[in-house]
Amino acid sequence: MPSFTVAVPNLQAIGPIVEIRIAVPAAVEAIFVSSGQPVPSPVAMAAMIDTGASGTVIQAGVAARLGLHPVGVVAINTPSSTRVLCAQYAVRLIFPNNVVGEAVVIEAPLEGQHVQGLVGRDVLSQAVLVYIGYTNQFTMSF
Amino acid sequence: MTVHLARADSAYDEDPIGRDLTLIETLGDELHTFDSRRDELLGTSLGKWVLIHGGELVGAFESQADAINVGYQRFGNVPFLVKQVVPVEVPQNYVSNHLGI
Repeated sequence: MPSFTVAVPNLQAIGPIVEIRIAVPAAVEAIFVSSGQPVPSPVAMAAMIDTGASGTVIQAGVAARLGLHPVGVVAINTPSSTRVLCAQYAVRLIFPNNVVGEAVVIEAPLEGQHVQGLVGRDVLSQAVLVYIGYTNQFTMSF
Repeated sequence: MTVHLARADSAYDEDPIGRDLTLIETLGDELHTFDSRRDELLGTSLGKWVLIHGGELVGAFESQADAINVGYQRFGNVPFLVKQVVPVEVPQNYVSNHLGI
């Protein structure tokens, strides 16, 4: 079972943060290759595993850097807003140990945060998350 | 092989907030088509994922991934709309204050 373990100096203070890369999905990569265009390089970001997030989020602007276009629109609720429409993008998520999966994510500004992405319950629905607070580490298996 | 990675936070600095609004405007025709045919779709494709491009309803699919893959295969890397046909759309919820929305 593909998995990765992350150790964080202070898991309670910092949260379950993992360095991930966001890449174009396989279908778009094939389009770039078949048209002779270079495939955009993956974008690296610190992302928090967020059980309070219905879906996965990437920082605003990342999809444009990957040359991606929206494949959907979804309404979201946050503590300060309701029914805000966000564009959705199909992306490939690359976790440590080359654990790779595809997901449809939303783009949103993550202002003033120490992360540029949230890994939400859409990804967690396919995973096992083991959070070991007293050793400051967590493991995700798929 | 060397992979050159860019940091996401630098991308955000260069990109104005509100880009999503522009992109949603990009899908205006598709959203209009979905809304105008919602009642019909509720009768014929309840629970399925529809693919709409350029104001045209392309088809209904069992999964979101199927609809997206057909969209890329038929139209290439361009905007299109994939949306589930449900009686009431439930918004995604984000309980923390991470999002600047």
